[in-house]
Amino acid sequence: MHEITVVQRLKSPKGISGLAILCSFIFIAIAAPFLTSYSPDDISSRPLLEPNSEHLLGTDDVGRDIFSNLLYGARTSLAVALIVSSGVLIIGTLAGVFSGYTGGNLDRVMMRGVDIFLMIPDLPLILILAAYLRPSLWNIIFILIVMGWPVGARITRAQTRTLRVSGHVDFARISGAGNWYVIKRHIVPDLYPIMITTIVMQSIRAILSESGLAFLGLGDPSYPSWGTMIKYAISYPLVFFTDAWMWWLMPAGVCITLLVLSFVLVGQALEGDK
Amino acid sequence: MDNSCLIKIDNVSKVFKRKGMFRNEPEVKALDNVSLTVKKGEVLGIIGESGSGKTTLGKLILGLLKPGSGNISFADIDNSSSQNGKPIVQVIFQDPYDSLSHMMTVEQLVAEPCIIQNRKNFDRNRIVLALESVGLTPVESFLHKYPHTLSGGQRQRVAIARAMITEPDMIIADEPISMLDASIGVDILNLMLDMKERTGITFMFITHDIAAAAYISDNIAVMKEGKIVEYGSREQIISDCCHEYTKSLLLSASTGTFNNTSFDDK
Amino acid sequence: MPLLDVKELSVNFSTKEGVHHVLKNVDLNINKGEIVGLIGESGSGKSTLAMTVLDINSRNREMSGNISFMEERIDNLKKERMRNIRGKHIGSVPQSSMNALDPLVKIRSQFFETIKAHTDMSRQEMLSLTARSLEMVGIDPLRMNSCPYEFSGGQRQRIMIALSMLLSPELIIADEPTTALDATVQLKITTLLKDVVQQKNTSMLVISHDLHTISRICDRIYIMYAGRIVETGTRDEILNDPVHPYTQKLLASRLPLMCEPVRVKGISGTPPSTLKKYEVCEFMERCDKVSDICRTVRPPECTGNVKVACHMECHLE
Repeated sequence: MHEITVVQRLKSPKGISGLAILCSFIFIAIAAPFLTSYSPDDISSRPLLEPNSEHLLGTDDVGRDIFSNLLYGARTSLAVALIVSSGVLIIGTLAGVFSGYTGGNLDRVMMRGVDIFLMIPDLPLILILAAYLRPSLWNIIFILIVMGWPVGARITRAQTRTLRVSGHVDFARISGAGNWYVIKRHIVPDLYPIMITTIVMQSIRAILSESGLAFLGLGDPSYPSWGTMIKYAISYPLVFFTDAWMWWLMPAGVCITLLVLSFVLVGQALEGDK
Repeated sequence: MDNSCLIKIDNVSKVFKRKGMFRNEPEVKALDNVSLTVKKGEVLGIIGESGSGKTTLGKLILGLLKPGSGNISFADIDNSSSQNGKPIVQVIFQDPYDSLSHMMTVEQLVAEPCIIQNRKNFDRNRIVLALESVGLTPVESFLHKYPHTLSGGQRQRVAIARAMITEPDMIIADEPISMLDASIGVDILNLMLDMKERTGITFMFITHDIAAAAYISDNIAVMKEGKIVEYGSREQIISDCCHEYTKSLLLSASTGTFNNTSFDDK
Repeated sequence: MPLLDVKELSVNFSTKEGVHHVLKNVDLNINKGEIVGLIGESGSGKSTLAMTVLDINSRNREMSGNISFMEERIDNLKKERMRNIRGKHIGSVPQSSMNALDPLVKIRSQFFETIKAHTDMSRQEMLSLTARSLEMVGIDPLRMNSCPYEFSGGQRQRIMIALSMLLSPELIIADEPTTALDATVQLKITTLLKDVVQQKNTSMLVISHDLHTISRICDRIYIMYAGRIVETGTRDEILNDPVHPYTQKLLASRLPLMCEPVRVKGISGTPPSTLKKYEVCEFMERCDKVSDICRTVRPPECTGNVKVACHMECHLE
């Protein structure tokens, strides 16, 4: 995919709306300290306040400011998405290109290894590992990368196998190009579309998994998370009997949906969908 | 080795083994004891149907495949651009869509063999000259185009320009016109003939079309089922061939000629 | 009344880059029992004509003019009715048809599929029909239980022809039936097409970029350039006495099979863009017989009794 095409495609209605949502979340995440004066962990006021000018979305059952939790939660979600997707991308692409390009028995062994990883059901393993390891954000990121890279490697390897026997690679070899040149100039550029898809898909997966684990109580309590917010809101017995769910439960859910939606829109726009 | 020879192919065989999951599939004998010499400055036509091993032969010379048995020897060449005294062999592939990376501009594509060979210092003028020599003028309008915006004939011209830019001793053209319209294909053949007249380059022209081979080649080798069944000069092949297969090829090429036979009284 | 009658057909496609004028005022007719060749280079619109007749390219398409088949207008038929005509009354051998068969489905099932879509025959009748049509194209009927991947390219092309003839359609449209085949196989396939048409007494439209391979079976030939018919005539007229400079150049670009080295001239220049609207002759840029009148006036259209879309023809008279 050429730079021009990428820009053109992102200029479609889907691309623009996706980017707009994504950028506003990034802005919120970066500017969180300036947008709210409360720290997300501080017990800043009386519990269960309704929204007012000081607490835009009120407070939760222990008196923390919901609005600032929401802002700092964006940080967590985006950071997890960024680290996991780039981790999967780097490891997956390296492994896939290496395996596909080398071929032969090494390729066979590596792909069987990948198959084993792919056979293990994702969520149960994450649950078990998250339960055994200390619940920390870095453990979650680690697990998501470990479970995610085989998918990237598989797709990258398939594409590399096709490219390795294509005419332009043959031509470069005949002209005297070494392996490194072929990989750098002929294989990796052709993998860009796959890489973009990997980033988008893995970001979505990371955001949903992180929130999901936090919701199940396996998240990192030291980082504010939308999943944790939903968990506390739901476990508060009276949340649905008062209006509290409107500012306590719903905003976090809406944020998760919107952030995932923005990635989906950007991904679809990059695939040429208008 | 004889002085006039560029490449000598000696009793070369190539067998492709197909590995099945539980048992090995039957072997495919792509080349069966092929011997052939390529003379300096000639156009050697290789004719054969699909599966006759003609592309495998080209790939063996190019070093993309290794011969199963027999050997391919290259003449020693005094050529400043060749490092180890071996002749430089370049290639033009059949499919101009697959052989040009769609991520590169025409300029990058043509410059690629130079960049691979001597990294940084190459003359940008050579790209312009190469593109001019294949008739892609005005050059400026083509330099920054991507291959998918070019027509099939133009792409094949880019492929020729990039094969020629390192001043090779020999070019293997593997079905370069089979995917092009007939009238465009003639232009590409003419371009190759011009190149040969101007630079004295050796061509190996692989094709399934005897008319195209007869048009461009000095000598012709006919291949069938991995063997060379007939070899001779153009005149020999066209006017007095002996092998049945060559005869059937000639027949299929000439029944279309409207002034000697019409279809019905064939 | 001809079997297929295309009149003043113009087809445009609107895309992001603009409007592509693919077919411009095309007149074409096929009589019963005739083999008609449609020759043009890639991008000249010859395949679009075939697809428009079959109505399988209706996306983003704007068309004017009319198409009649067996004295019935078929250019704005309902989808159901058109589907009924395709396959039963108009058979088609699509481009790269060697790959048009599902490689892993038995030949028999693929034939049955077509039969069932249009008729209600018994299993026994279907079997015998399939066997007969395979036999006609020289494929052993016993092999109808094999899958297409077990056949060579030429054999698959034969099977495809058998499939298109299965329900004895009145017209067959063959798009580049010999491209991508070996030279010796090309000869066999063209011979087969001719035989089949004679045997079944149908008509055929053969589309190709290769005048020489196809001309040997055609009764009449249309030459298409940049979406326009530029010359039409019987095979002998076109081959022995071409008038339009494009036809002349096409014929001259044939590679001779001669002992002495000769040079043949191709057609220089590039085909015109379909995005541009031409006020004068489209071939002017590549023509070497341009006169003053070419630069100002459109040549006559190839309709009715006009057989050549070139000013030269008028001057000759």
